[in-house]
Amino acid sequence: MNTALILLISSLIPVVNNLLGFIFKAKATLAQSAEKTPEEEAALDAEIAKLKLNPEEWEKEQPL
Amino acid sequence: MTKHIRQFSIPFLAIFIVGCATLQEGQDPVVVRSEQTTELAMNTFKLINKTEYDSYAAFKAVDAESAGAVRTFVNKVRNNQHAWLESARNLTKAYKNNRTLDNERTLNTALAVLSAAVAEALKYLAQIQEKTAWMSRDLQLVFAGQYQLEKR
Repeated sequence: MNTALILLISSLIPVVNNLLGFIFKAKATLAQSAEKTPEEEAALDAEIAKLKLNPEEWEKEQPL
Repeated sequence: MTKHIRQFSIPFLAIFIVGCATLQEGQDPVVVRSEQTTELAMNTFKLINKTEYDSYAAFKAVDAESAGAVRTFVNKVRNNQHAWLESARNLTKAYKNNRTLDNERTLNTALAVLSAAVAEALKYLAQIQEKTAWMSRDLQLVFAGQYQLEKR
């Protein structure tokens, strides 16, 4: 019983963690009130570059 | 009605509640909104990539057909996300260098592609959330039933 509950809770942690991470990032993005600086642009481009993986590579690498 | 409320995904609610900030004076709204759309799309794609991967086994156990449909969509995102986002970034840079109406129109087309993919991703995220939440409630009932049996 306890093991099953621990498994259930631990399976929910990544999902909640992903959602919270997304909400904080979305909040920061929507608070943007000026054009990005060159440094911020470079950081965004670097993040986008990490997404250049096909589904099979993505499963192996898990970059996110 | 309840079904519609359940289909409201948490990410969508978060975006709706936060809203957009007012722009500083002298800033070009086309550039700022384009950068926001691109960044928000990137984070939405990351979220659905990870959430689908983390919940696939549980989702498949509950509804294999829907889990397959979601995986097909997410694999389409995984295959195209880089091209979609890079295109939006390149067109934003082109517009920043030459702020013409033509460049703005081309940029808006790329942003429309991103927005459509984000809308679809949010729809599938709500579906994952609905199905896996159903499973956890169901499991809770099983555990509660077991607990009652153990007490007897």
